[in-house]
Amino acid sequence: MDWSADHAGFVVASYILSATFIAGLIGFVFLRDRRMRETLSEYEREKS
Amino acid sequence: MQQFANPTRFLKIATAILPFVWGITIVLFCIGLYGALVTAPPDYQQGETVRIMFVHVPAAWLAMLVYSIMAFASAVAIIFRHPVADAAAKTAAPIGAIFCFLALATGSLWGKPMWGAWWVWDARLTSMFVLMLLYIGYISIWQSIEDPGRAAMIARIVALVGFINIPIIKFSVQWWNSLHQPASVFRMGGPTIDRSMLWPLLVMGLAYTFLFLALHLVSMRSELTARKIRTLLITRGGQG
Repeated sequence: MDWSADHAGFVVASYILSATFIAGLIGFVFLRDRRMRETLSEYEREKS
Repeated sequence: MQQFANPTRFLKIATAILPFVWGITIVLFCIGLYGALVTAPPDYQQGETVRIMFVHVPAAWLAMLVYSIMAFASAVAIIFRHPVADAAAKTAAPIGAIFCFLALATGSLWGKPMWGAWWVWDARLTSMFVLMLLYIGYISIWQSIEDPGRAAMIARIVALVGFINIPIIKFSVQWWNSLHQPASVFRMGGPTIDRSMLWPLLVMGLAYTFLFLALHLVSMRSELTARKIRTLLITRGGQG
């Protein structure tokens, strides 16, 4: 990859945008999963 | 398929295979990105800009694949009353929507230097935009209707009706005059891309597919846990 080539900024922007949204999606999915599992264990503890 | 119908069994299998799926995803991304940014040569016409293809095309493939999976899961939910099928369709939608957004956004970043415009109301771009609207509509149904049974019924219909758009996206470049280039990988007669660009593209496609699989398994685990919580709350409400 020639970083000084014409339009290299468009390439960099595409990869950064993709990485940012994918990282955000991974974070969102894992946070929701952790929150759900914590809530469930809380309810089950209360129940028992 | 019936063995996955039991949510408890599904969760057990999903939790067991998840580390391997994440491992394969990371390895595929490392190989794919190395191929895309280091070994693939610049295009003789597009120069370095062609490297956008390695993130744009897999995102577009996955946007269509995920919607197809949603439509299939919705059909399974209607025909077999499969308890996990609705959860599969519901949890796939936000992931597919992000892939669809990335296909549109990176396509726009590729279009500006190549076509001189960020956006054109071309058949391929417009049908992808319709797919984005379908994703938003599908997610909105689940968000806005409180009764899960009613939401599932409407969502299944939207997923199945919207599936008509998938072959339209695929064949739009053949049916109408388009600025977008025709298919160059999945076509009769084989790929037209040079091997040096084809392998990183296929590896990136596989990496995106495994990423979807990993995220989908985690999302389904969350959804099934949310259902358990809802059942517990209803039981508690009934007792109280």
